[in-house]
Order: sequence, then C-alpha cells, then structure tokens
Amino acid sequence: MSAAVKVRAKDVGKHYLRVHEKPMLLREAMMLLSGRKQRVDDLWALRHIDFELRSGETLGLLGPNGSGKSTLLTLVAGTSFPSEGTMSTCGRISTLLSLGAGFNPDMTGEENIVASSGLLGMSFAETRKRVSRIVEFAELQGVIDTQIRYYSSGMVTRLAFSIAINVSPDIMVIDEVLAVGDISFQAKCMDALEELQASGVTTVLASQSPVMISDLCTNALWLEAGQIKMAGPAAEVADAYQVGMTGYAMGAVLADEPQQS
Amino acid sequence: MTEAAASTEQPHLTQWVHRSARGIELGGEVPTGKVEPGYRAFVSAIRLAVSLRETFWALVAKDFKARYRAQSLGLFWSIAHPLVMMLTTTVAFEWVLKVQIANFPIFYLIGAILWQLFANVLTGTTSSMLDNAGLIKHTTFPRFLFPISTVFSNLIPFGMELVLVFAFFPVFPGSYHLNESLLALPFVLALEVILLIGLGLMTSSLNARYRDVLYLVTSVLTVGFWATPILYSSTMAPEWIRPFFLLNPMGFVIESTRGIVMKGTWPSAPYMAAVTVESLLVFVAGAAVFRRQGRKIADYV
Repeated sequence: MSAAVKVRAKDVGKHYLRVHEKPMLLREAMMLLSGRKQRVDDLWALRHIDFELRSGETLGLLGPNGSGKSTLLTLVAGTSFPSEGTMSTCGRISTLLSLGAGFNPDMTGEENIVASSGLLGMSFAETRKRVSRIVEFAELQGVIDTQIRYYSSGMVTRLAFSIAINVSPDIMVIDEVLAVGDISFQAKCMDALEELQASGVTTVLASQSPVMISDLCTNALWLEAGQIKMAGPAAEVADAYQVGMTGYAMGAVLADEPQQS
Repeated sequence: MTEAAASTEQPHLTQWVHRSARGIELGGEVPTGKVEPGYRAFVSAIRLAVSLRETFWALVAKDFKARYRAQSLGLFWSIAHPLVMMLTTTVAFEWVLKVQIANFPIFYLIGAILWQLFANVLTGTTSSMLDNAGLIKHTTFPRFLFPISTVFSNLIPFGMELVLVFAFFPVFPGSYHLNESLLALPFVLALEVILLIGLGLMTSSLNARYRDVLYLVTSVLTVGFWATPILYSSTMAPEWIRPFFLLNPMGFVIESTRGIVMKGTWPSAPYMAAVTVESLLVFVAGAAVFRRQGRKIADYV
C-alpha cells in the first residue's frame, strides 16, 4: 500500500567555516609553514535533520530567514554534500532554486531549453519532442527565438518552471521563486504541481507562506537555527508556525484587519 | 540496445544516490558506508562522462560560441591573431635584433600556437568553475566535465591554427620537411592535452576555493613563456641545460613538433617516455586534487 521511499535524510548536518578573510592559497600556505592558525568561526547551518519522503509526498520547509531552508534544498538537490549524516535520493531531480541561474543569457529560449534539459539528464532527442510543450506551458511562443537577456524576470521564471516540470523528474526541489510570475501563471503552477504530486513526483518546497505550504504540501518541517523545531502534517505545522511567528492563527490576521482600521 | 535507450540509461537516475561527507555512493536503498577507491571512481567517472556525452558537447559548443559570438568575424580572429604575432615577431627578430634562426616565421608559428593553446586553456580551465557557477548551483552535472569542456572548446581554434601551419607550405616550401614522422604528431599533441586536463582539474577546483590561484597561474605562465623554447631553440642554449628544456613537457611538445614538421625527424624516444610519464603523473595528481576538492565546489562558488 505504502509508496516507495524517494528521499531520506539521516541525521544530516551541514557545517560551514566562516572565514573572515577571503581564502588565498599563498596566505594559507605561509600560515601552514609558520604554524599560525587563521581565525575561523564554526557554523552549523543544519544539524540533526531526519526525514523520509515517499513517492507523491510533498514536504514544505518553513522557517525564518537564515534558518537553513535553502541549505537543506541544496542537499536534497545534491549540489552540495552534507558534513555529517547521509542524504539519499532515488531518481531524476529537477530544481528551481533561484531565478534564471543556469540559463545562458546569450542563447535563445529554445537553445536554453535544450541545454538545461541536457544538464538535468535528458537526451536531446527526448528534449526536442518536448520543446513545444515546454514553450506552450510557459506561454512564450512569440519570444522563444529571442535571447534570454531580453526576457523579463517573470518570463525567465516561467521558462525555468516549465522546463523543471517537463523533464519527467522523480523529485522536485523548489525554492521560493514562484512568487515572480503573475497571478494567473502562479495558479497554473499550483495546478501543475498538484498534477505532478498525483502522478507520484516527490517534492520539497521552501516557502515563507504558511498558506501555500498547507495548501500544497502533505508534510512540513519548521526549521529554526538549523534544527527541526516541529515536524508533522503540513496543515498543523503551518498553523503552529503562523502562530509562533506572528501571534495570530492563519486567517485570523485578515479577519482582524477591518476592526483595527 | 537502441541509441535512445543507451543515452537515457544513466546510473545516477535509476539508482539510489547517497551523499555524505565521505563522498558519493551509488547503489541500493541502504548505504554501506563504503566509498569507492580511487581507480573505481575513475572508471565510474568515465562511464558517467560517456553517458552524458551529448550534453558535454553542448557545453563545449556553448563555451566556444560564448568566446566568438561577440566578434562579428568570429573564427577569423583566432587565425588573425597568430598571423599578426608571426609577422611582428619575425620583423622584430630578423630585422631589428638580427637573430639567426633558420625559417623563423614557421619556427615561431609552431611554438606560438602550441603555447597559446596551453596558456588559453590553463587560464580558461582555472576560472571554469566560477564561469559555470550558475550551473554548478543548479544541477548535479559532474563538475569535472566543466574544465574538460574548456580544454575541448579551445581545441577547435587550435585545429584551425594547425591547418594554418600547413597552409604556409606554398609560401615557405623550404621551411618544411614532411615525411612519415608526421604519424608521431597526434601522440605528441595528445601529451599536451593530457597535461592540460590534469592541470585543469587541479587549478579549476583549487580556484573555486582560493581565488588567488588564477593570479598564480598567470604569473607562472609569464615565467613559463620565457623558460620554454618558443622564441628560441633549445639547441641555442649551453649543452648542459638542454635536457631541462626537453623535460619541460611544453618544451618537448614544441621542439618535437618543429622537428616533425620542419625537419622530418621523429621525436626522441627517451624524452617522449619521460614526458609521457610526467603528463600522466600530472593527470593523476589533478584527478586526486579534484576528488578531494570536487564535493565542496558548490559551497564555494
């Protein structure tokens, strides 16, 4: 009955050394010779993170700025490695981590579609079959032969999102980038994400919006200073987070407003 | 197995991937905690590269286009540059300094294009991780393919320059002695490519962490230009120094290419053996440095 596990974090931690001076090979070599030590701060951006995600589940990450949401996303995406513990994933991962990075501004939209899909592990033959679907979803039919540098930031986001969902991912990793598209496109993205969930894609999503998390996710983690403060069903965690951060329950803020003015 | 099936069959897409501080492990759902030994990792890296060859060539093309798209005459410049250098240096050396080197234009052109390839690739690969920072943060595309794609994208203009060397045959027929020793040329050039891949793996991963590596590389290249027989021949130096010029891999590559093209002589076997060992050692060292640094690149760029 239960679907297969797709993502598993086991006591994952990410450690950074905060160096006060730009690291330079010459200086480090001289310090190594002279036996002096550089002043460094230890920083655990994440510690003791455990979770398991099955096929079709969506994990929402909530937490104040600097709580480790984005770091956790890069670990799931596999672009960076944990300093302790093990992050395990199974399947093709598609990422939407920050706006338009990974695109080459000198290439046209279509050239970027082919290049990005290739980097995500699609063959060119497969990609060519999907180009028209990607363009159509992004609603960029008129400008797909234009260099990306002339695109608006919303257009870049639409293209990135459209590629990310069309490379048949098993796992999707999404940072808060959807906010850039206009409302109608956002609504379209939500529908697309729900469709992917239904088809068994596992998603990890970071957001500042508890409403979005409780709407889109099945489970959620509330991160604070790199540790899990609360884990559980998305609606419960989102509620607790909303109350914890603002003192209001979700929905209560809006209801109270007319009386205050 | 059909072509389409082969290109989609990438082990990292169907297996479990476990990432920990010790490295990456592919395989079953439960990690064993064992990390691949160096030689096994090397074999899987090659298999990964082969499975991603399409994207690799796209990366080579992108790198190549990025360099030439800004210039309306494109590739013309890659040929014009060595030509102009050949002209000015010949004027300066033969007319002003009155240096006596037989067939100087071709002598210099061969040295210059081989050194230019070395210098361009080394500066290019050193910054390749920073140039591709966007891709490194967004995809798990194997990082070692970024410096290697820089090597290959520089081989395209180099190929045209090499054609240029032979295109001068009707102009200076006396400068050439073409015979069966040309068969050795690909092997001599391959040594330079192996050397460059090794150095590129080393400097690219180090430069992601230490941003002064690029400055060190440029300084070393300036010294290297004068320490390598480019503007002169090792035969002009005192007898006892000569072995050092030929044990310098670039010195060997340049002098051997000149010998092959201009005199029809085979490269010296003992030096060829020594330089092959050197290049392979540099390659292994580069791969080892990359293996240590590679995991952390996304944290630094």
